[in-house]
Amino acid sequence: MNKKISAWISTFVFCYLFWMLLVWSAEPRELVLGVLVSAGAALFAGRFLIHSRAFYLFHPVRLILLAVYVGVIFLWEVIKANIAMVKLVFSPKLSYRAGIIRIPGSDDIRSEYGLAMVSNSITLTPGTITLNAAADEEGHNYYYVHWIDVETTDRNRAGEMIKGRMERWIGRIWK
Amino acid sequence: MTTILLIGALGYAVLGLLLLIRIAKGPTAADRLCAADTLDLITATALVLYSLYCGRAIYLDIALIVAILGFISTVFISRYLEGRV
Amino acid sequence: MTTVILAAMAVFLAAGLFFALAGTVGILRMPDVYGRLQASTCIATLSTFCAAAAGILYAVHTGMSAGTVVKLVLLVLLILCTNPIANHALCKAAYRIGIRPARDFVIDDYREDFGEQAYTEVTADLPDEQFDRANEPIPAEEEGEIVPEGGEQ
Repeated sequence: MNKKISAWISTFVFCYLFWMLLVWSAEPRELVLGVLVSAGAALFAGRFLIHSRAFYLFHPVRLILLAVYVGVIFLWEVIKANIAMVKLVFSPKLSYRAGIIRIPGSDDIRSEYGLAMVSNSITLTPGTITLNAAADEEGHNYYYVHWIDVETTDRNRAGEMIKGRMERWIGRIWK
Repeated sequence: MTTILLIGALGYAVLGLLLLIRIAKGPTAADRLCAADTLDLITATALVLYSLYCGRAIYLDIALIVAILGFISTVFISRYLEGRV
Repeated sequence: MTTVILAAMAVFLAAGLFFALAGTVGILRMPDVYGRLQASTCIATLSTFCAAAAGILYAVHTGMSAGTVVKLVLLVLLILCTNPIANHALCKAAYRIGIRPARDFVIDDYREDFGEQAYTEVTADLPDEQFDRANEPIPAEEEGEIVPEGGEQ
C-alpha cells in the first residue's frame, strides 16, 4: 500500500477514536462530523505522525502488551522513583550529585517509535530526564540522561539501572 | 462524601498558589517556565476534582484544554528560548 | 460499602496531595533549574494518577455517565504522553542557553562529546535531526500478519 495513504488511514483511525471517546454519544450528527474533522486532521498531521509501519500497533497482542507495560511495569518503576524523590526533597540537607551521562541503548529497538517511548519513559520517572536520544553511525542507540543522583559513572551499569527493565519490555512491543 | 473532593481541590489550589512564589522570583526564564508548566498540571487536576464536586461536566473539558494548551505553550517557549522557533 | 469507597478516596486524595506537596516543595527548594524539573515530574506522574483514581472511584460510585470516566482516563493518558516532551524540551533548552547547575555536574558527557558547541547559540549543526530511519526499507515479514481492524469499535 502507498505509504502516504496508510499513514493517513492510521492517523484517521486514531483521531476518530479520540473524537468518539471525547464526545461519547452515538448520534448520527456527531458521527458524521467526527469523520469530517478527523479526515481533515489526518490529512494535515499524518505525515508528521506516522513515518513507517503505519498499522504496527493495530494488533491485539501488542495492545495488550502495551497496556501491561503502562499499567504494571511502568507504574511500579514510577512509584519507586517517586518515593526516592520524596526522600530527597524532604531531606534537610538536600545533597545530591547530579550529572549528565551517556548510556547505550539496546539494539533490539529499531524504530523511532520505540526510541521515543524509551526516552519518554526515562523522562517520566522522577530523577532522570532525557536530553538527547539518537542512533550513531553504526546504528547503536544512545541516550544522554540527566541523572539527579549519580550512583555510578560506569555507563553500561548506569544504563541498566536507569532503564533496564523498561527497555526490555518496550523491546517486546516495538521490534 | 463530596466534601472530600472540595478539600482536595482546595489543597491543589493552595499548592498552585505556592508555585507562584517560584514564578515571581525564579532567577531565569527556564525556572519560571518550569513552575508555570507545573502550575498548568495542578490547575487541571484541581479543575477535575472541582468538576466532580459540582457535577458539571464542562469543567472536565476545560481541564483537558488547559492540559493541552500548557503542553503546547511550554514546548513553544522552550524552542523560543533555544533560539529556533 | 460507601464507607469503604470513601476511605479509598480519602487515601488516594491524600497520596495525591502528598506527592503534589513534595513536587512543590522540590520546586521551591531545589537550587537550580535541573533539580526543579526533576521534582516537577512527581506532580505530573503519581499525583495526577492518584487524583484521577479518586475521581474515577467517585464517578463510578455515584453512577455518573461513562463519558466522565473515559474523560478522566483520557486526561491522564494525555498528560502521560505530553509532559515528558515538554520536560525534555525545557531541560535541553536550559542546557543549551548556558544555564549552569548550582553544583558542578559529577559527569557531563554531553559537554565532553560536543565541547563548547553544546553551550553556544549556534545550534544549526548540532546532531539533533540526524536520527532518520524513516527512509529505511520496511521489513518484509511484518506486513503480512498485521490486522488493520483492531482500532475500530
